[in-house]
Amino acid sequence: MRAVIADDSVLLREGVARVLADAGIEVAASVGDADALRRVVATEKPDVAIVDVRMPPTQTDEGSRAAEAIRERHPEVGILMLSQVVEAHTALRLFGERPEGFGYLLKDRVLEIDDFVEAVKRVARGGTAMDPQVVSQLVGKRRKDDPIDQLSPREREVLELMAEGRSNAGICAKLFLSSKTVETHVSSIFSKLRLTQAPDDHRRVLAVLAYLRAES
Amino acid sequence: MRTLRVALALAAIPFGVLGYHILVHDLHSSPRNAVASIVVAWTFVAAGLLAWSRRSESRVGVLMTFVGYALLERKLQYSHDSLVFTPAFAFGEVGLGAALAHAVLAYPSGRLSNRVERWFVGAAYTAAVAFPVAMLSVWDYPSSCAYDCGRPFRQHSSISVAPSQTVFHTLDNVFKIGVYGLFAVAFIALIAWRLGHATPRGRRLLAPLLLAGVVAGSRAVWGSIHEIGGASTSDSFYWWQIAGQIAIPLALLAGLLSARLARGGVADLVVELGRTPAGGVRDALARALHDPTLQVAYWLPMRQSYVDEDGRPVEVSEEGRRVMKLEDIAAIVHDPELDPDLVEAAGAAARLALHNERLQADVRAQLGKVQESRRRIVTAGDEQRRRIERDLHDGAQQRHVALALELRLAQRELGAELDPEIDRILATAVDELQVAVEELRELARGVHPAVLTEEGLAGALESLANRTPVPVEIVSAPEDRLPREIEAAAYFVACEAIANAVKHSRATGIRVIAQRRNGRFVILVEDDGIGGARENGGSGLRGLVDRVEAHGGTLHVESEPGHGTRVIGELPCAQ
Repeated sequence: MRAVIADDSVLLREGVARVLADAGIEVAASVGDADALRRVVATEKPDVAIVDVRMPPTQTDEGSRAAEAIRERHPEVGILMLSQVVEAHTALRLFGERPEGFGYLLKDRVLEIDDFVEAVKRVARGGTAMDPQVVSQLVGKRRKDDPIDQLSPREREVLELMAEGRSNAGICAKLFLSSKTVETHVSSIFSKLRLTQAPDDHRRVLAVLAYLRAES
Repeated sequence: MRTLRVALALAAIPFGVLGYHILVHDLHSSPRNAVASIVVAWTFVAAGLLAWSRRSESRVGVLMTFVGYALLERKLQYSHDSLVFTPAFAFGEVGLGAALAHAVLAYPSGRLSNRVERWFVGAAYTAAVAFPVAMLSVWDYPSSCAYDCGRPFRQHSSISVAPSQTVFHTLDNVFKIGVYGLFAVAFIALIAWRLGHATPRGRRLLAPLLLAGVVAGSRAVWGSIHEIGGASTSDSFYWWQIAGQIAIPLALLAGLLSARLARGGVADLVVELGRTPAGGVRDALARALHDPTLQVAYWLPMRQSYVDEDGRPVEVSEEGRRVMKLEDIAAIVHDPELDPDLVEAAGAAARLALHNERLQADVRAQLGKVQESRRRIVTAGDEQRRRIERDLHDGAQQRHVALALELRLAQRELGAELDPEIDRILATAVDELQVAVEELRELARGVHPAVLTEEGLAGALESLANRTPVPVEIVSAPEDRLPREIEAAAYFVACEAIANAVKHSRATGIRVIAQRRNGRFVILVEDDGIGGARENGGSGLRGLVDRVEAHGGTLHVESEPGHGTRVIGELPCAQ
């Protein structure tokens, strides 16, 4: 598995590179701005690009604009956006209708090394990684007569992990539950939210996000 | 002058009676035609004298009186006495030909406005005297006759030096057909040129008189064509001539009357100014002077420049306009065709009102500057906040995360061989750094949320709603981007109103409406809490009022006890 990193902080770039190298992910290139990122993606054809949202010169949204361009030209390259602040509104705009091979995490998530590496690998394989803070913003929104209120606390946890993009196995590991129990929770959640069960993880995330977005 | 005018008026009566006598007895005119002809002359004299007395600065009155007398003099040429006939004939054409054209072209000031007009009038006077004198000098009694040639009686020139019927006849034809026709065409062309170049007001003023001039001029053209045809003067032609001539002094009277009315307007102005609302002095002046294009510019001595009634700088230009300056107060910029005396009178009448208006314009100009600087201060503050947020984001936050990651990697790489105590210390340090990052993030958000810069108002309101412990319904929010300062002002209004609702109102629900309405941007936050909030209560709301007003908006709070609280901010915002 190969990755490229784009972040204007050299220290952070090197830290992330070491984290990935330790996890057996080859870091093909590590760059400091959006133009260099576009170039290395085109030449290195990595499985995943880890991209800071704000980069020089304007320090506003160069990263996310570069990410959009890369998704357009190289749909096979997974993109994991890192940001100092995460917002539901921004997340839903970036994800658009395609959560496949896309992630959006708070920068501090790199400190939870195992979870972070998990997320990088998931995105590289075409999966999704949505920051828990965004998910809890979406799920935690208080509404009247919300079917989410009918979920048990455990089911809510499972829903949030699904929305983060985790597979059943990932959820099992995170909550120390058997796969049987997780499956039961998942089908219960789907029936309470009146959603049809999705055949795979990609479409499951899509369904859950679509549900949360529709309510937002 | 007055005595002279009275004398001229009185003298015109016996002169007219004499003219009537000659017309009826010597020319054998019908009494009806003779009366009409004398009345034309008297009308000129009367209108001329009236104009002369009312508008002494204009020489048109004098010219009109002259035309009237010239018309009376003309009647003497029908006398059978050669000593009367000869001088009367020599100057008989001056009145209807040259003097009338002179008066019409000189209207309304009494002066000819350009060289072409002066040449034309000079040539007309010369021809009007030169041709008759030349004809008199070749008068061949008894073959020569100037008019009424069918009758046996013939007038005799006292100054005939080389009698020649051929030369006489040629001169007569050239004069009546060629010269008269040419002068009439040129006269009409000059009038058309003047109308084309007049200002709208000038055109209105000139129109009646010029129309009369055209009637007379076209009569002359028609007359010369008639001469070519050789037909004798018909009765209907005679009445046309009379109507055209009498229309001229009447039109002059009409012009005079309108000037009188305008003077009446100035009198009304004095009364009207007493109840004119602030800012209405210009309109009152425009009405009084019948000049809708009139402008008033107020002088600001501090700035050494002119401003309009709202305090905005204006240029005072004389191009195509005339400017009447009231020392240290104002300049009245008006149609150049307006009578300067009239404008002066109106300016004097409005002096006090203009002085007041000038003070108000001065205050408005200063207020505008204050408002402008207030807006700049708030905008600069916002800009500063955005910079601080960015510095925190790219600086402290970034460094903290990188440092925490270093520690985490150290902790991990040293792994099992690490002293558990050191492992614990490293873990705590990472946790502490994470808390610090979180705090910096909140601080940055409070200073200026990144989401506002990146996503605009809709995203920022949504983010705000997500973090509020009380359910917030965003009823509407603009999906497109608004000017930065409007977004910031609306966001901070919502932020403060929601924070107050959560802290003090015991609300169970909050609604936010953010939308454009009639060229303004409205931000409304309402809750279902206990109400009773005061607009000047907290310093937070006071700061918001400042912020909103700095951008030319308004903020008010409705908070009846027991009926919840509504905070409504309105900001100017073009579509």
